[in-house]
Amino acid sequence: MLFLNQMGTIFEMGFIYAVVALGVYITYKILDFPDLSVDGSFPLGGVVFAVLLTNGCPWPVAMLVSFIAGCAAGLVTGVLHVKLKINGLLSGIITMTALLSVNYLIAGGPMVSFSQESTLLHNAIVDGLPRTGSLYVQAAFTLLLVAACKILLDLFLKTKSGFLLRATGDNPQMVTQLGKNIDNYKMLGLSLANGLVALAGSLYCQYNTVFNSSMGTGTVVIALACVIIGCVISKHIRVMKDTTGVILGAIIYYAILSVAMLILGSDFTQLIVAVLFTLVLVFDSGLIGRTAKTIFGKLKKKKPSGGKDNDA
Amino acid sequence: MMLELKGIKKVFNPGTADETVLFENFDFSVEKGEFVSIVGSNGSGKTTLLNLIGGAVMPEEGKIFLDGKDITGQKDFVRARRIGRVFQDPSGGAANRMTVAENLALAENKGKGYGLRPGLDKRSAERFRALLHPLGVGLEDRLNVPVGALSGGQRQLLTLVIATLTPIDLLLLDEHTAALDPKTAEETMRLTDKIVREKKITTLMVTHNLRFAVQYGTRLCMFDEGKIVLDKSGEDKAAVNAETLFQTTL
Repeated sequence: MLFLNQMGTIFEMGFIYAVVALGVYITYKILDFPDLSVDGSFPLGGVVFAVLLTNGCPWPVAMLVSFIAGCAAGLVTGVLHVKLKINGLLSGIITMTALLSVNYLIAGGPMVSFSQESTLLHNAIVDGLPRTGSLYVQAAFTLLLVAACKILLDLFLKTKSGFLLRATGDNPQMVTQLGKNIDNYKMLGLSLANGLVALAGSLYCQYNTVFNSSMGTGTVVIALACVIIGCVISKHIRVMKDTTGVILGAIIYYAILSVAMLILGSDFTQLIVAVLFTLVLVFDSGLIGRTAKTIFGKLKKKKPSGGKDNDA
Repeated sequence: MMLELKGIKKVFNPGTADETVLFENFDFSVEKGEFVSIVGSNGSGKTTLLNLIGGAVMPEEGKIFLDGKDITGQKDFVRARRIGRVFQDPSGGAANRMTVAENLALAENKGKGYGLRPGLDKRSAERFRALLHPLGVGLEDRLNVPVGALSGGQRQLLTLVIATLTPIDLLLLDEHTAALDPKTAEETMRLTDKIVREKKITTLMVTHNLRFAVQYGTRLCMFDEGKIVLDKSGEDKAAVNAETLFQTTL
């Protein structure tokens, strides 16, 4: 039973962070923009949702407004970057820092609790089930939302505007040559990304039935790890889309994180997050693969250890 | 007159010890339909000229007119709607992680708006195949390959196709064969000439290859320290050969 519960939590948290990862995929992979505002827009989504809900707003509307609030936060980062010409990394840091206060002000304190309200993840259906059952139903609801986000994002990336967004990250000079202002597409991408992140923030709060102002800590690092794991998977499986890989990456990441937390205890959470991220980066750089090749190459001796490079 | 530069002044690092005045009261004009080859040593102002026209560099003084319209204050992306450009770096002209077809689909919509229509439709492949087939380098069979996987020559040709797919007033070629091996450069130059002739595009080509400058184009200009030291067209140009041109550069 404990194992089943653990699995259920992994799926639930994995799917919530899959939504964050889909957002970060837009900035990190498509736009090639290191967006740190995510650490602020994730709790922003949470607090907007919590405050609206406790003031009598139905949960679907509250979630939609969370998404829009996230878009606005992303737009701020975008404006700082493209209009005020501030370095991308710093633009994100400025937004993130400002949001810490903004979130606190919206919440009117460090916490907003809404355990009595009906939401997507806590309603008559879910709460009527035993613990294990409710966990899986929650995960299923979250999966539906993840799937909707993924499908919409995939569809958008296949439109003419989606092509332009991809080209903006790939070769900005080409977009300029097409007579388009790359600034607009950077702002569009940042908005969409932070909108998704904030939407995930509202899910996270629904799962916990409380907004906590510290919920954003480490979001960027977790999401980047999910994206990088996901893209490694989709690179090796030809038919798989990056977005599918990113969702899988989130599940895998949460599975590893959960196991590590079971062993070491939750005091180590952020440390584990940091170490896992380092491992993912080192793995992604191909260093481990090459080292292994060299070692095994030497062991075999017959086969010369080729200086083959992965990137042609 | 398709292109006119009047009284251009361009200073680099103004107000510092490294201040260099490249252009001073510089005039230059190109007639409609001309194919101008521009040669000159490094630092002679060839590429800066293209950057001034393209909008990547703004002049301190002077005006730039395209087809009679003052474009001096226009941003680069606005000018790009009427000006195509191919860069020296083969990775500069197309989105490398996107496929050949996706790049062409983007180029197709230049000036038409993008919106939420499907990026590729059922007939795209057919259209692109017909477009690439006449080049004769097999690009039409690589529509679904990411541009980054193409050879340098194929990429430059694709960039050329992208730059000339929609109607433009002016084509800028910035040493576009310089990064290619001699054989591919030859082939690319031949196809460039073919495209420019077929579409009757007014073209400015900066090149270090003196033979290309002599062999192709309708007019030949040599730049030196921001001044035009040689400007020949028509029969005068036909009389110039690479050898005499090389002597002039010394």
